[in-house]
Amino acid sequence: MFCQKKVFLSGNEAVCYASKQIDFHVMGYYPITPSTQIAEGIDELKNNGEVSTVMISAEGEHSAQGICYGASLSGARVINATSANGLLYCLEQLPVQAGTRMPMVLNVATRTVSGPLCIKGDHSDIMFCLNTGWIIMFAKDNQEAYDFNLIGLKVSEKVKVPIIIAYDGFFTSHQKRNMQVFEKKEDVLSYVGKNEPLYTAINVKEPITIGSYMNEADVINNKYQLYNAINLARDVFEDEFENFYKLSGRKHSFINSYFTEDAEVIFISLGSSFDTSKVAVDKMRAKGKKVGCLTLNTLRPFPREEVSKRCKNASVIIIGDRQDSYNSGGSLSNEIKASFFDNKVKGKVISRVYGLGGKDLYVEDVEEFFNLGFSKVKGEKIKEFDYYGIGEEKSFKKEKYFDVIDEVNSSMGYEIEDDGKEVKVKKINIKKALNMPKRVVSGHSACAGCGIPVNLNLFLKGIEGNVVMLFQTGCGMVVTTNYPKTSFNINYVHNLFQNGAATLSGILEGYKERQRRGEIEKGKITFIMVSGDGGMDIGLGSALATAIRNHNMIIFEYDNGGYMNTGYQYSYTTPLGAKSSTSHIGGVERGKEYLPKNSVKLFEATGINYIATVAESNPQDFIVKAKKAQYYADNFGLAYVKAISACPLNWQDEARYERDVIKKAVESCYFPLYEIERGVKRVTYKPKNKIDVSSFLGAMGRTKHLLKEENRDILEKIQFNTDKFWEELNN
Amino acid sequence: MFKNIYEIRIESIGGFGANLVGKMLGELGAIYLNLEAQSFASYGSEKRGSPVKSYIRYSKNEIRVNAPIKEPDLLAIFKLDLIEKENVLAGIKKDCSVVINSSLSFDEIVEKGKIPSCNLYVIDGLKIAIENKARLNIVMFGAILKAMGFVDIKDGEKVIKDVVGKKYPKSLESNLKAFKTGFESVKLYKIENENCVREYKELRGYVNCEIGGVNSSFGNSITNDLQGCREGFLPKYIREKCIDCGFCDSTCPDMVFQFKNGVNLGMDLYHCKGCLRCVEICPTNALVEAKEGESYDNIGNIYLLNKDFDFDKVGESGWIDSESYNNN
Repeated sequence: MFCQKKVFLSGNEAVCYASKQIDFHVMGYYPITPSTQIAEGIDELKNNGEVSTVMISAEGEHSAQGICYGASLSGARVINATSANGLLYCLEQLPVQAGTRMPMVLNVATRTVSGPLCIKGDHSDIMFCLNTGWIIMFAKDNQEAYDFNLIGLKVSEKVKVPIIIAYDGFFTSHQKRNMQVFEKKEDVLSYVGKNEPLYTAINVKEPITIGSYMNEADVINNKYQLYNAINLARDVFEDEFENFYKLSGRKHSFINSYFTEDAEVIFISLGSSFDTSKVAVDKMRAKGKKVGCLTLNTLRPFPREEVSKRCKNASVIIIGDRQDSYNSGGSLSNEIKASFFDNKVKGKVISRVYGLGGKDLYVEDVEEFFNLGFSKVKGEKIKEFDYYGIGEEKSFKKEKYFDVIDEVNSSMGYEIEDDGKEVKVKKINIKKALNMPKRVVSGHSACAGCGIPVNLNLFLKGIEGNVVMLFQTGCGMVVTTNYPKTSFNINYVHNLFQNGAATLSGILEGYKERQRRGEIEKGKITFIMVSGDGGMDIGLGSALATAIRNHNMIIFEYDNGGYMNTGYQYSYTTPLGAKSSTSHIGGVERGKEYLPKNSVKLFEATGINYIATVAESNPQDFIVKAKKAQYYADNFGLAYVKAISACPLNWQDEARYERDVIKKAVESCYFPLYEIERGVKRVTYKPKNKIDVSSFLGAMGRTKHLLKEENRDILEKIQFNTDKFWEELNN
Repeated sequence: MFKNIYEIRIESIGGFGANLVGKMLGELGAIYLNLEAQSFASYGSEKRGSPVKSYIRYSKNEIRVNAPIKEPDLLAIFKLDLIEKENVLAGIKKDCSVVINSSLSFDEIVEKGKIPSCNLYVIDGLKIAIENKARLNIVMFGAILKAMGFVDIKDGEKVIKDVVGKKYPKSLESNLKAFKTGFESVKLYKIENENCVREYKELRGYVNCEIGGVNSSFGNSITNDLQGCREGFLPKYIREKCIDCGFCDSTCPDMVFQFKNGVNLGMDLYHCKGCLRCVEICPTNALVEAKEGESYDNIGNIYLLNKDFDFDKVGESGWIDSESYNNN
């Protein structure tokens, strides 16, 4: 037995603890709730000098998984963590890695898949992975999350198949519990052993080709090899469960069961629901009802014999699915039913889809499932499949609070003069713009002092006429459209943030074509895609491609320099040296490692006719540019406008002073105000006395450490970069 | 101590640090009381000001249930306003300890909160926090420990040293003092109020929800009351000094200022989160910082709305909400 100690950790922290002891070579990741804490935690460990894992925050999960695949091709030990749409975005990479047999560990804190967008836990993401060729374990609690990360890594590296360790998002990932960990890192390393890759892409002495082009004669052989490897994993698991038991005293197996031996009715569920159902079993047993419950610890290999064996004496088996395969039943039910058929289990099966989108499962709910089972035993007619926990309310009344905003009431009489070189907006000012009806209204749940609604409000003051907006995922959409409320007074669409620009281009082209065919009335709409800087990282490709296609639309970016919606991980526009939950300071690390992306330059290269930067500290300039963007979008194609946006929570400053902080960004030319019109650059605001960037950076808690002597080199680099760009703009 | 399981629910708003108290209570149970412990929070976004819940479960045996706590042994409410806006009193039983942070008197709280039978513990947490230059949550941590009744104050201090001491060593002393004051000055009252039953009804179902998650009630977030988000301060508007420049409207994230034909009619404080951005920007000091509870003008949304609307009644302070409509 190894020495162990008691700790009080959440599921994500348990994974971090295992990762600390393993000290992976590389983690490629992209932040997504609820798995983000793993990357944050490992980054903190790195800052403290406890691991030396190379942490790479990609611009999206697809790339993150690419980084991981690449790192495993180098023979490195690799970890990643993701959830929900992140998992689906990297899905394409999973079979590539399994088919070429590169082991690694991917932790999945399971969460419901959009849309509509929801960040809470269910199993709709993990079930997409059943056909990827990966080994999949499912931990019911924090202890198993820790243990499985050790056992799983070993099995994965032995059979050369990558592994997913899943556990319930929030219920397990965020719930702190008592648990045991091994005390010594050396013990853990002696258990998991060395990674001995079959091949690497870096052994230049023995050249190999990885990822050949294959035809029908060969693909089937490759897949059969993979099938055999997963079969082999079964045996390796048996051994490792036993080995791990000897070291820890904890005996894991393919399934956990509770009072199933003589049970008349058995409830099967995945993950954290198992422990809750144990309490229901105790309560029912106390009343003399013979019930039991069961959960699966591996989904691949699928423990068909083990589950069947435990259920063969039961009259009714109820399967709780936290996911649906729409008209074919939940995936867990389907797989278990197939196993029952193969193993001649005679009991009746009832399936219930429950707990979607993080809906809680209480002990009483499980008791109700058991009672359903007993009704079935008695011969009552019970639906074999149903949803459990849907709302029954029927009354609906559309509420109306505002006049529809149309071309008349949103016309402010702004005038445009276009001499073919430069567009001038006349008769526009702040006071006049006060009459613009609000397209985004009060009652949204943004933090006090948030810059996003301020920027939206200012931008829309410049836009006359009909507007359709599409928001990419981010704070801006989460705080305005919390169902059943919406803060939008106009048509609004959300799409995930890899794809907003493309989606909006589809809407507007459909609109134009339907007008051309005479299906809808002729009219004019300004289409605006709104994104944070996070969306402009992961969705950059889509946005640039949309710009190159030059659709008649606007892209409006609010840039607060971080992934604020998920708890402030750094983005590609976070200042150099800034601290964030994925770039620490004060230890080995020195904050964010590279200079911010200049997205304006990227858009400039697409050749679009209008690009501008705006800041709330210069409101007149702001609304003029909004109007110009609208004019260009209407007549010449895509316009891109970028605003600097305050985030009191994560800039770590006071809400009331945000405009002043923004002003400092502008006055120091850290965020210069300019436009690129028909290819011509024009500075629109020249500070009378250009101040040092230190006054801007010193105003935010996240960067004020840069003013310390020990960070002088970072500050100088930022100042140099700012001055250089400012000079470039003025030439 | 307690029989088998002891359950705590904390009701607060984002930014008050309730989640940290949850973690501290969890750690206290697991490490210092040698119990099986569990702590978790209601999950949502990272926003300040939105209602949050935190759950702590202690057990002498293995903890199995991981569902939220419906009937707590101790309920802590960090902001009294929550009682009116949210269903925070759900599931309290007669012997439940309810810890409330409020500067109001016992009678005022009972009147305002319509609180059913329980052991009510009242503390003016904000005052103690300000006096000690500490955070409210630490004061509440002290009050909660006192109300629990089975925790040694020394164990609480150890947890604060662990949690606060590690991250913010400079503020450890002041926090320890605030904690102790919280522990010592919380007052207990017994409430007998049998007729108070609070019920909660699910308002939505698969029939009345629009297909595809669509929401056709445009702009209906305007019925949200955001006053609970404020952390003690709000702007006060002085009409005589106002020049109707509109700068406030250009900096307000919550569209609080009601301009009509270029004239500032005042503030819609129903939606003001008290960020005070407007106070900083106002060129004529027509907007100044005020404390919550002081007199101020209040304006509803009737100035914003469609003139042709049929409505029966105007709600509080000129407010029209979903209750206001003529149903015919």
